[in-house]
Amino acid sequence: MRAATTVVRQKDLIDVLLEQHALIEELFQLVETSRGKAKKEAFTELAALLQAHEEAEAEIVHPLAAATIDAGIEVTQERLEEEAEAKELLAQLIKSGPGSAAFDDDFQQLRASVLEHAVHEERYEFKHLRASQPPETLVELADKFLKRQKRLAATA
Amino acid sequence: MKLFNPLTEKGIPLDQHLRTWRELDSEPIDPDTADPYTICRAIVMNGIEVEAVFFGHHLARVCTDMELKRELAYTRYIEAQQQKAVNWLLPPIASPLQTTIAYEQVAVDLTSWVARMEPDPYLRQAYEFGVLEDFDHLYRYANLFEMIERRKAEKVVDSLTEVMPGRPTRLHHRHPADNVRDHYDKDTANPLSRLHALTVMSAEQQTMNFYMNVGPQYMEPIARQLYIEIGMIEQEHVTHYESLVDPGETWWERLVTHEYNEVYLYYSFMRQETDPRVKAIWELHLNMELAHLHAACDLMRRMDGREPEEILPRELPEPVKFEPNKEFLRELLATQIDLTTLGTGYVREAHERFERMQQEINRDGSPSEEVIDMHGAEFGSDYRVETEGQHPVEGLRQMAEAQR
Ligand SMILES: [Fe+2]
Ligand SMILES: [Fe+2]
Ligand SMILES: [Fe+2]
Ligand SMILES: [Fe+2]
Ligand SMILES: [Fe+2]
Ligand SMILES: [Fe+2]
Repeated sequence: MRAATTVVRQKDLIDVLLEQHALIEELFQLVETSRGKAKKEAFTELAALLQAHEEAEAEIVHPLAAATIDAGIEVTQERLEEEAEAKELLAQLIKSGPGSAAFDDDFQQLRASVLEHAVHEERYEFKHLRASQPPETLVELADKFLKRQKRLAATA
Repeated sequence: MKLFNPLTEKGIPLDQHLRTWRELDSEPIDPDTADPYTICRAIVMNGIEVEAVFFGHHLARVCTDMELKRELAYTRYIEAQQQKAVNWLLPPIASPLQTTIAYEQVAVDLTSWVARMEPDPYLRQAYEFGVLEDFDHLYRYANLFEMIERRKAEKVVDSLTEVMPGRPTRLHHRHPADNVRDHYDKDTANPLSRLHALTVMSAEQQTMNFYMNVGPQYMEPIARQLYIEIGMIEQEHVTHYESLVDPGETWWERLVTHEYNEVYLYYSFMRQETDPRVKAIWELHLNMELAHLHAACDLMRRMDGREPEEILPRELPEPVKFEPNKEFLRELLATQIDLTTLGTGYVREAHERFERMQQEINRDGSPSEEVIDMHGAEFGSDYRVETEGQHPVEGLRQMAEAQR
């Protein structure tokens, strides 16, 4: 048997991505269940996280997957298309804002498309990255990913 | 209220049961908006249909009458279609581990219900004993879930079921001989006892199937090993529950029990279901099962020369319900956590055969312990959902755990 060690695992790129996916899921729920000012605030937070998440993914995660996993180019191409679709929906929602007539329906559409996209990433990209990349590389990339997000937020 | 009598309700004629691929491809449940118990009901009915299919295959393998074999092949095909329609309700967005947590929630709340309703004290003890183990599995998998998928089991169980230590998983590995229980007596058993044993056995069997198939999909060693360890316990659970059934029942009386149980469960869940789309599936399948039941009753009369009424409840028992069992489980935790089995009974002290098995099997560690240690090392403590206050057993409270 390979011994499972109790050495503390260092947080790697995939952990960071999964944590953000979980947070995105929670924020979707929060927007849906909130009203008025709280809804507006939750939506602003969600929109900012989504933008930072997808942009940093497009810069760091998808190119790495494209270059290293099997059929990487095709797989990431589909992810980029999903991201483009979500970006458009999000832009519309930001423009109309919570409280507008069409918001709830469009928001449902965004939620479905983003959550499905996240599952595709987890199954078709992240799983393969964990298998193909050395653990140290993924730990270093976690840092790079978070720093990149910070810079994007600062210039937004 | 008019009583529902499965023996006189008509149902859908057998020759109208076939469905197309499109019809079988049920639109999945949305886990973000669904009642977690809707997913639990789908998991139970999948296990019931899987048992219907496999029981049917075993029956066919000992059936020498060609005409009969063809008749059985047809209903079995329908059972297989039903299994697809039911299992395809599960959310594709959920990972196997998330579904695993729902499987353990099923084991906890279904077995608790059965234990509470079971009229026979020996059988009741078997359910009370087993439920504390699946309760612990839920806790171990929830810790794994947060560790490797960064998500919280609370979103899956939705505070309907608590998540905290039960009888520790490493102690579930008993010598296989000690997993064989005494069976009820087919001539005197309460008909409800037959249904209970079949239901819980089917659920555990499907849990065993599920873990043996999804476990290797994970690449993290701790996940792979935890699925092996708990997968082996689910196999013990199948032995434990299946041995409650009287092996002297004829094939035909077992077939009748299977079909009656399907009617009973679809009826129960149809009554309780809150999602109208899912409710429609329970209702459709109920109407199919009525036809299966009547065909099975005819076979029992023809082959055994006996009346099915001899083994069936006089009226449909109280419908099975998914509901929180927190107080019931806390009471069991406080009183039965340190039980193990010896022969067909239960004891408190670790006897020699148990100790020997434990030494052998756990000699290079227990994944179920390691998962908690690893989670603690990374997150500062173990993961729990304790909605009703601290753990009823002092030594298992979270503070004590953290200080260790
Ligand atoms: Fe993405
Ligand atoms: Fe993502
Ligand atoms: Fe069935
Ligand atoms: Fe279990
Ligand atoms: Fe079990
Ligand atoms: Fe059936």
